[in-house]
Order: sequence, then structure tokens, then C-alpha cells
Amino acid sequence: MQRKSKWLAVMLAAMVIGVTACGDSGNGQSGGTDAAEGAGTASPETGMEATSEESSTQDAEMHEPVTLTIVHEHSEEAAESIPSSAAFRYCLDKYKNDHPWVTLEETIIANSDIGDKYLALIAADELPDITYVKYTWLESTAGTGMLVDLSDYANPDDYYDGLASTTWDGRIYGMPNKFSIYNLICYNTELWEEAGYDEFPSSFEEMLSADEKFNEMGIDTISLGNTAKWFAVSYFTDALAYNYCGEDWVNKIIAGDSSVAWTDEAFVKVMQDMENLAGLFNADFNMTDDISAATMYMQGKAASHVVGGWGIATLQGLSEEYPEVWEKTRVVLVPPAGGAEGTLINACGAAVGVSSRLEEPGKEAELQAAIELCQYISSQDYATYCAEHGTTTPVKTEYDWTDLGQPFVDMSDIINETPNTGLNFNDYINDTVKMSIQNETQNVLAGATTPEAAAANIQAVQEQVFSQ
Amino acid sequence: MYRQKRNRLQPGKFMTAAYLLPSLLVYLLVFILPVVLVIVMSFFKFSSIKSFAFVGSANYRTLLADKNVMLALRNNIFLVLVCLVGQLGIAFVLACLLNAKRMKAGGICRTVIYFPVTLSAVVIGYVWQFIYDYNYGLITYFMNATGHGDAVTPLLAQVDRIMFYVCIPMIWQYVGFHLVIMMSAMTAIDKEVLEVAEIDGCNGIQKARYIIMPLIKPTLIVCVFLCISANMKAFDHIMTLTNGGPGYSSNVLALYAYNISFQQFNMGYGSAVSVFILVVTAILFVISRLPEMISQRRERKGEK
Repeated sequence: MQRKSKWLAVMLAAMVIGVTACGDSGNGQSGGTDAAEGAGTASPETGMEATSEESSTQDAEMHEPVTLTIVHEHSEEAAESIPSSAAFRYCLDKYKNDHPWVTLEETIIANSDIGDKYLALIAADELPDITYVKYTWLESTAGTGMLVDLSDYANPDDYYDGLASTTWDGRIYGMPNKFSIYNLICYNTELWEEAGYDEFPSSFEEMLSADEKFNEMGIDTISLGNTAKWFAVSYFTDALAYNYCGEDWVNKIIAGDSSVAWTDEAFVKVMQDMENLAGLFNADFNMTDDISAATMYMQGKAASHVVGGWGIATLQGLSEEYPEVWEKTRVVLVPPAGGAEGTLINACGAAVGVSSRLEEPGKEAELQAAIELCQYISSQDYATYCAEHGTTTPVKTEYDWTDLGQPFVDMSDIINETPNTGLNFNDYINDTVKMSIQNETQNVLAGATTPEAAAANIQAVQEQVFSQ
Repeated sequence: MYRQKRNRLQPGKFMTAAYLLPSLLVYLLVFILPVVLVIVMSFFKFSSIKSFAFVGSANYRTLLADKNVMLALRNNIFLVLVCLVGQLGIAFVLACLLNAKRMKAGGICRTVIYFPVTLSAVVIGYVWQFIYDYNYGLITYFMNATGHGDAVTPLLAQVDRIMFYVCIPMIWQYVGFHLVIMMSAMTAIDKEVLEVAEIDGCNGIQKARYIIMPLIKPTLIVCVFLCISANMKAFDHIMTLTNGGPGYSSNVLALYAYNISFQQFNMGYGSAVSVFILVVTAILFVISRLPEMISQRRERKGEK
């Protein structure tokens, strides 16, 4: 009996040790994993060139079965309302049709959480086979050997940014699939005419002065949703920095060149203009999201709405409920300040790359399949689909949005005719400095700090980051 | 026979160790090891497990000079103080009321008050976001309905009062938790003591202050500890309700550590902030025990 008890205790201890020692050796997949096989779900129709069944079968027989993992944000529900998500799913479905021997295990994370998810995966070195690639992550991913060199598989001339957003140390590590433009204003022509403006003000200063008229009318001048903190920076701080400080200054500050500083008079002027802007917005702008702000505009509670290129599609989605506002909506660039020329803020916000784990011996088939998937997601077909559905693309293509409505036509005119383009701070500036800019901008807008103090705080962070 | 009977009642050292080993292993692996690793990592600069560099005390020097850390610490201390009064104070009053002889349906009340404790903090954050919403929130609705529409303001955008508004859902959620703990302690009080006090002419407030509170003091100390530790590591409520904004005005140490680690790729510094949370929590524990330690020392001196 005594011996039995001893053995029982030893077995119990061994069980616990065994259970505790077993860890998750997976690659960070969370709830929501969606194993996709074969042809997958019904896909958008335009531009699809299906391979014949017979050749697909022959291809399947020639290739060994391969399983690839991918983490992305483009769910079926997102694809119904967001053109870039629909384009992504279209490319995935086309790839699955053309590669029946490949099983794609998709993990779908909401757009608001995918950045944090990838940061955790990078920290744990558990990137999926096909991974997102962002410029600010390159040091931690490409710089530590987590990504496959794709220089032989991508042509910089095919892309608007020449693949600058995915190049590290002279080599290319990603193929861009997201290209966004930021500082646009959708305005209600009827409300602005009522306020005495035949068209939207052409200068920043004139836009500031319009607030008085709209206060009398009892509506907000511009609706903004800045709860995520980055919106105000992308829509206003960024463009004002190009207006007052110039492109050379911006390029130097991004590179950490100590010959320029956030405390320079020109950037303090930017923050002073941000302070003046606060009165134009809805009272809860710092605590509401951009969808709520777009809804406010469509409900006629604001005379205009500041938005990125994707926001035009959001307004189009809301136009079913508010058709009269949609019909009166026009789109312009946020007017430049200080007599400068307009600058269109843009970014290749995301790209797709391949995890370097697929370079291990015995994984040649997976590596080839993964590179081909990246090429599909960043292809001319993808660009054509985006262009036909009113969203911008990093791959060079022709935009013809005449069938989508006047706001889309306005947006294509802005893309084609704006003399200058600028980089979006949130996608190209060091993460620590970026957080500081976002928080200080929100503080300035909330009246919690002065422009000078905000600039000084950002500069302190910049110095700390680039001195390490 | 006698030796076998003795072993069954008093197992040997080996058996005792064997029975304790599984729990000890789990405790070491789940609690102690992560704390040790965080302390070790705080002396390194690293952005992922592939990129480590020993930096000594550089992270701690940065921490002591970081204004955002001090602001977050101030917010955490505010949370602790307000929640000590709010959570424990309201819970004590409710516990006294529910424990009273004349109280009807005390069980149902206790269940209803405890219900928010079972909800996820993320759910609480989102629900209270709707309540505070400037355009469609419950507070806005009631103010408009009672003719005070002019006084409606975006509550979560007010930099000087944001922490107070953040405290309210946290107090609302955890009052029930402390209530249950205090009520279980109050049921252990001899009823005769309370009856004698009533006969002597004590009212409810005097009973609560002079009889109930001293008798459940050990339980109150536990509640104080739990309140301090929970509010020093507050994260999910803040993240869902305000995301630390506007700016840094509602930022707390745990959220700051998270942002530093996972959004700035600076896990060494994030680990240093986590160790700082641990140290500050320990200091607050000691401060909360100071009055009792001083009174015990005086009693011992008095006895001498």
C-alpha cells in the first residue's frame, strides 16, 4: 500500500512536468484560424483568368502538396465593404485556383489589432510563412534575418515608391499591396454655399476662418475621429510639416539627422496651426472613431469630413442611407499653409513577404509557393481590381473612376495633379518618435499642452532614440 | 500495524515533498520564473528574441528621467486612492446594510451587485464608452431629457478629469468583489456582540465603526492589498475606454509598458517599467501596513 502511494505520487509529478513542458510550437495563430483549401469561397468577378480544370489537375499531380500559413485582416465581411480587402481576397482566391496543391491556412485578425498581433509575432520570432512587411519593422525583421530576400522577384519600376518601403540595406524584402493617400477633405457643397463659399477654401488660413460661419449655422466645420491618435498626424501634422519645413527637412528628421530638430521654428509653427485647428472639429474628436465622424458628416452635422482615400469608399457605403449628401460631396486636398504648394501625403502602408524559415533545407516547394503568392497579391491583376473598385494601389496602373461617382473622380484628379507627394509620418518615422508625435498632437489639439512644449517633448524622444 | 497507522496520518518527508512537488513546479514556472526573467530582461536592450544587447542600468536611468512614466505613475496612484475609497468604502457600507437583520432579499442584492465582476474588463470598457458617448451616450440622453442639454460635454475628452471618469467603471465593476469578501467576514462575527451593542444604544454607524470594522480588520487588510495590486496593474479598462488618451492624460504604467514593448520594439525598457510597477506596488503595500505596524509597536512598548 505504501509502495503504491509512492508510485502514484511519482507518476503524478511526472505527468505535471510533462504537461508543463509541452509548449505551443505553432507560429502564433490565434482564435479565428480559417483553414482554406482548394478553390475557397466565391470571389469577385472582374479580371479573373481561371486556369482550366485539366491543367490544374495536371499541375497538382506535378507538384507536391504544400501548406502555407498567412495572417491577415481581410475577412469575407471586410471584403464586402472595403475594396482593398476585396482585392486581397480576389488575389487569394485566384492563387488557390491556380495552385490547387497549396493549402492556405489563414488566420484573420481585425484591422485594429493586426499591427499588435504582428509585433508580438516579430518579438517571438514566430512570423507566418507569408507575413506582413512594414517599413518601420524592417530593422527588427529584415535586419535580424527573419525575411527572405525578394530582390530577384520584384521590379521596383512597377511600384509608385520604387519599393523604398520594403528595402533594407539595399535588398528588397517585401512586395507592397497597400497604398494609401491621406490628407483629403470631403465637403458638402450645399452647406459651404450656404456659408458663402462657392468652392472649398484654397488656403489653410482661409479654411480656419470659415469656422465662424459654421458656428453660426450650428454645425461643425470638419468632422474628425482621432481616438486612434494617428489620424490627425496623417491628415494635418504631416502635410503642414511639408508646407512649413519642406521636403528636405522631413527627409532629414526621418533619418535622424541632427542638423534639423522638432524644435525648429518651422515645426513649432506646424503645432501652432494644429492648436488653431481644434476649434473646427466636433467636440469629441479625440474620443470618437473615423466611422462615427464619417456618419456625422453624412447626417449633415458637419460641413466637411477629413479622410484618407479609403474613406471615400466608406462614404459611398453610407450613401445608401444619405444619398442627398453623397450627391453634394466633392473632394479636395487639405489646403496648404504658408503659401506653399499642395502636398499629397501617401504611404505604402503594408507589403507581403516570406518568412526565412522557408529557406531551410527541404522546404523548397513551400518557398516557391510562398513567393508566388506574394507575386499574386502584389500583381497587375491586383492593381487593376483596386483601380476598378475605387481604391488606390502601390502597383502602377491607370485610374478611371468615372463610373463610381464624382468624389472618386475628384480623388483621381488629386492623385494625378497634385504637384508634390510626401511620406506619411506614421509609416516611415521611428516607432518611438511616432508615438510621441501622435500623443503630443492629441495633447495640443486637446489644449493640454503648448505647441512649444509638444515640440520639445518630441525632440527629447528623438534625441534619446537616435543617440542609442 | 501501529507503524502503518502512523504513516497514514503522518506521511514521511519524501511523500510530503512528492505531494507538494506538482503545485510547487507550477508555481515556480507560472509565477516565479516569469518575474525573474522580466528582471533579467530589464538589463538588456532587445526588440525580439533574435536581438539582445546588455545595457546594464541604462533602462532604469531612462525610466527615472522619463516624464511619461511619472505621469503614468501619478495616474496609477490616483486610481489606487480613489478605488480604495470607492470600491472598499462602498462595499463596506453595502456589506453592513446587507448584513443587517431587517434586510430583505439580501441574497438577490448580493448577486446583482456581484454580477459586473464576472464580466470581462474589455466588455466593461466598451459598454462605458457607449455610456459616456458625447452624441448618443446614456449620460447625454438623461441630461437632454432633464433639460440640461447645454451642459453636455465630451467627458472622455476632458484632460483634467479623465482619470475620474475612468475610475467610475472600475469602482462599479469591483464593488461586488470586495462586498462578497467583507460579507463573508461579517458572518463570522458573533451575533450576540451586535445584539449587546444594540441594547446599549448603538446605532448602525456606531456598530459599523466600533464593532464591525475592528473585528473584520484582517479581511479589510486583504481587500486593501487586492485593491492596490489590481489598480497598479490596471490595463484593459484604460485601453478599451481611452487608450491612454487624450495624449498621455489617462496613461497608466501597464499600458505604457505594453506600448513600449510591443509598439516601439523596446522590450528591455518595457521590462524595466514592469519591474517598476512591482517595486511601487510593494512600497504601497508597506505604506498601507504602516499605521498598524506603528500601533503594534506602541502596544508592545506600552506592555513593557
